[in-house]
Amino acid sequence: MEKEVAIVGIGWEGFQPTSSHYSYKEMIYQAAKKAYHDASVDPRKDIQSFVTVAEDFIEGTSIFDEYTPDQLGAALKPMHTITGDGLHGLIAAYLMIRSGICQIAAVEAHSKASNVKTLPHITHYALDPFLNRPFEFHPDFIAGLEMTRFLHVSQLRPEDCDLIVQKNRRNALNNPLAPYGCDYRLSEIQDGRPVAYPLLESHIAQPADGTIVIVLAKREIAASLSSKPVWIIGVGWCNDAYNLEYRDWGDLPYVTRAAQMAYRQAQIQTPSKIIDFAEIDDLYAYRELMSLTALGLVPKSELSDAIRGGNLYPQGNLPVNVSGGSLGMGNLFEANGCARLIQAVLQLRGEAGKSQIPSPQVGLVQSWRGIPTTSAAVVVLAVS
Amino acid sequence: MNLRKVAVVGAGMTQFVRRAKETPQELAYKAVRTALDSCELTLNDIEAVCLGTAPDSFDGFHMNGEYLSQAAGAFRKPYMRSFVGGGTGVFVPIQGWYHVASGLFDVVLVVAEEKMSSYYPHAQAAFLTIFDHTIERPLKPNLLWIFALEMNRYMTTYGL
Repeated sequence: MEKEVAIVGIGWEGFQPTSSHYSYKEMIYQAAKKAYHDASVDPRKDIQSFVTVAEDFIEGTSIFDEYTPDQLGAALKPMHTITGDGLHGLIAAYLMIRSGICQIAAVEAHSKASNVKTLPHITHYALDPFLNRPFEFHPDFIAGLEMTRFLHVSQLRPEDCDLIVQKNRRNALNNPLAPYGCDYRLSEIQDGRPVAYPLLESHIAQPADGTIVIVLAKREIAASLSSKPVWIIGVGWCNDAYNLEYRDWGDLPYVTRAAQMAYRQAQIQTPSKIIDFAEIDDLYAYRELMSLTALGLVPKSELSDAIRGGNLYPQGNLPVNVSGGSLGMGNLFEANGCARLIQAVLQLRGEAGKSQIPSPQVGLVQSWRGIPTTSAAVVVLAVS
Repeated sequence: MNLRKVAVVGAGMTQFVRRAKETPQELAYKAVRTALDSCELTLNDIEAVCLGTAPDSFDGFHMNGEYLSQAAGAFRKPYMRSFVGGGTGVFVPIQGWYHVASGLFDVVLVVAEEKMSSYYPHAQAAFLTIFDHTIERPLKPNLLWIFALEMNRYMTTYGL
């Protein structure tokens, strides 16, 4: 098990459905300030490289990477943007530290979702212009198709997805960072507005604003910066088919490949025995179940028992999204992976408050870039 | 600094033209094909793909990196798109370098793509969206403003 790079500082600002009182720059500044304090570093003196994640159309600004250095303390410093999920950005910083080009790096991811007025229209522009756009379907239709196929091949029912919603929104009540905590009855979830049958509005994570900054350091100096370094012991990421026509709709081979890459690096043979908890993608409730199988944590045939028997609950054998996941903390766009990651870091540090599970040693974080992508990343974390 | 040595072993590019008839995917595919042929490798030899392409508005895609992924050879492979504005074409080989130098990969494919002619009638209009939405965009600036301002200052400073 490699321990080359550690997370030595985390900071965040948010998370809430709207944040009209400050700009994305002010949000990033607040998160950066906290992360640098947590890691005891001065960004101008100590951090050698910065990575941000963003997509131009979501930000409403082209060449958005030009708008992030100032509030991070990164002016006149090496900095680049990864147009991917926050975990992709984290992995880029991890690779740079491993390469030896820098010893300390910072990663920033944010969402100012409340600035986005026409999200479905923007997402529509991510579709193939010849084969898919002319149909002018709502992007959630793709999720409805995938959910239908997945429920068919896994022999699950929509009610299993309702239980995921109930679990994660309840978990969020114990997480002070989660704006969408709610003690739903199943009937209230099932009464949700149909979006693309069997997908209901209640199955979809709602947008939220928030910012996360993470500081990473090389092994030799991590201990001097943090009394509780959290080690990155495995990373993996993968893309599948872009075109809708070429996809395997009932499984997530790209999540599987990303996980296998991370497990190989972490020397994990049987993930379900080693991993104490998981913070994974649940932008749509069915995706949590789909991802659990793709990650090799729960066989497809045991998914229903896992959710109905309580294994995925905070007191279960494999607590999943104890933070509330995206259903409870909101859809933070490219910051979703980092939101999952800071919750895993808090768990491993023993600082998760009412959400804390007993003495976790190894945690798994997984993200997906959302509709219509087939892009996923996995990070395995451990304490010493 | 004891860094792992990394070499460029193959390269390829498409013809540069005012208005390419190929789609952005086709342009990326042609360059990848030529690069792989130049070093007698196939996609099976490629362990990860790095892609660089700048403003999405030029190609007319949200998440342009995802659109280009298959054509760039990233099907079921680790794939990441980087972005440093106008410096992206130079930065993406650096991204490929740190992938290999990290020790996680031995062979990485680096792809840079841009199709500016999709923006009709001219890509200059897309540059309006690079400016600050509150204090600059209302003035409807373009790149020539920046260059003229910088040229003015430079010539004044150095008496040219």
